[in-house]
Parts: sequence; structure tokens; C-alpha cells
Amino acid sequence: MKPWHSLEGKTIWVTGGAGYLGSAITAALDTQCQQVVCFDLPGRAEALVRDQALVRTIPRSSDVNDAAGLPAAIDAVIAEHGLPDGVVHLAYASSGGKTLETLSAAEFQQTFNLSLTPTFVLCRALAERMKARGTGSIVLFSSMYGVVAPDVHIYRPPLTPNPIDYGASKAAILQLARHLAVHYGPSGLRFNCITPGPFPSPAVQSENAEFVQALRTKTPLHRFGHNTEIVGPTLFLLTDSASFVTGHSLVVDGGWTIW
Amino acid sequence: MLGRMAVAREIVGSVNFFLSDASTYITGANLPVNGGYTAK
Repeated sequence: MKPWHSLEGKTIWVTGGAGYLGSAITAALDTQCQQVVCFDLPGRAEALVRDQALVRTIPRSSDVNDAAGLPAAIDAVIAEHGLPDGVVHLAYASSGGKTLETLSAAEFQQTFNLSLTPTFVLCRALAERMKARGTGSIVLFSSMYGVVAPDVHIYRPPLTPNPIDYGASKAAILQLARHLAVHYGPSGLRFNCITPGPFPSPAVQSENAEFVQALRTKTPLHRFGHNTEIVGPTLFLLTDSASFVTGHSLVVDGGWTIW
Repeated sequence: MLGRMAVAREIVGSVNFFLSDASTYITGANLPVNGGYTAK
């Protein structure tokens, strides 16, 4: 008998599935699902499948930040690979390298056009297809900076503080999950967020020693997260282990937001 | 909201999750298992 939290036989999509957090999730799903569809920028998903010798992962070079093109793109993938049982949506965009004083209105708006609106379009398109089946779990990604503001003192030049458009759009993701959870709950669909704390990529770890030390000091567990530590929480929300959990933000932050 | 009450075994996954190494970077967190009751 397979455990009731199993992903055996399931099809899961991961957007942004070749990034630092996404690659750990995709690799874990590859060992447990029947099929994983990994969406990322051109070439990245293909490289992940090749480098990690993934066997059940289908790479897709799709622009999931393009709200206008998303419904047709989703229909095409469903026609080819079937309706997914669960979706992990990590793809996002934000401004970079600008101070709050120099960020233009257009740059601020761009983050919402490329991150928030596509998240809404993706969720609604999938939910409208999933509701006839009556099951589905969608896991969105917020951020600790959608919950609390960045401490500007730990960002020394050349680093600029985590941008305001990023945090504002990640805060909005939390509300998308709650609204969608309530709307589609009677149809048997669940929407939740993972809210990660500090998970600096290997490049950040090697290039910004002082910053990374500040991240450690500010975290109650006194260390930053490793990308493998985002896997368990994500799989929990995808599976029937979380069958009565919906509209929730699961904070995976070593305690960053509790003090 | 999911529009139904839970059955007892639906609490098991959450307890297992917090007890296991699946949650090594989670501390001080609250995990509502309430079918979305507090989402609206």
C-alpha cells in the first residue's frame, strides 16, 4: 500500500524550476512523481535535466511572466502532458540595483506586470481546468520580505536593499492565495504559499561574506537556509498530508519573522 | 474554504511534518489545519 502522502503517479509542474530553490524541488519531485514539467527561461530547464540526470522531468522553455500569452501556453502543455495534479509557482521578476530613491514608476509597475498578474492568470487558468476534476494543489511562493521589511543596515554598497516592488508583490501573493483558496475551496482545490526566509544562492554566499554573516546573525536558528530545506515544506503542501491546509502561508525562515 | 469538516487522519501529516527533517528550517511557526477557515 502506498503512503497517503505519496506523489506516486502524479504530474507536477514547477515554474522557475531550474533556479536555486526550484532546482532542489524539481530534483526531489523527479524521484517521486510520474512526471514533472519544469518551466524556466530558455535553456535553463534543459540544462538542469541534463546536469542532474533527471529521468521524469520534461523541460519547457516558457515565458511564464507573459500574462497575455499564458492561457494558450498552459492549454498547450495540458494537451501534451495532461492536467497537473499540483503546481509549484516560483517564477518571478523584480527590479534590481536601484535604490528606493532612484526606482522609476515604470520599473515598479513592471514587477507587478511580470510577477503578480501572471500569477493570477496562471492560477485561474489552472483552477478552471482542475475544478471539473475536483482536486488540485497549487503552491505559490511569497517571501519573508512580503511579511517584514528588509533591514537596510545589512545592505552595504555595492548591494542595494531588497527592492520595494519585490516585497510589495510578494505580499500580494499571500492575498492571492487566500482569495483563491476561498473561491475554489468548494471545488476541492487548495492554494497555499511557501514564505521563505534567507536562502542565499551559492553565488551570493561566495561573493558577499559580510552580508551572509549578517543574515545568520539575524536568524533565530543562526544560520541561513539551504535549498534542500525548501523541499519538505513544498512536498507537504502538494500532497494529501496537507489535505485540510488551504489559504495558508507556510513560513520557512529559520524564525526570521518571529522577532 | 473547503466546505467540509476534517477527518482525524488529516492532522497526521502536519504533525509528522513538524516532527521530521522535512521542516529543519522552520521554527516558531504556526500551521493552521483548518480547511481555510481563517483565510476569510
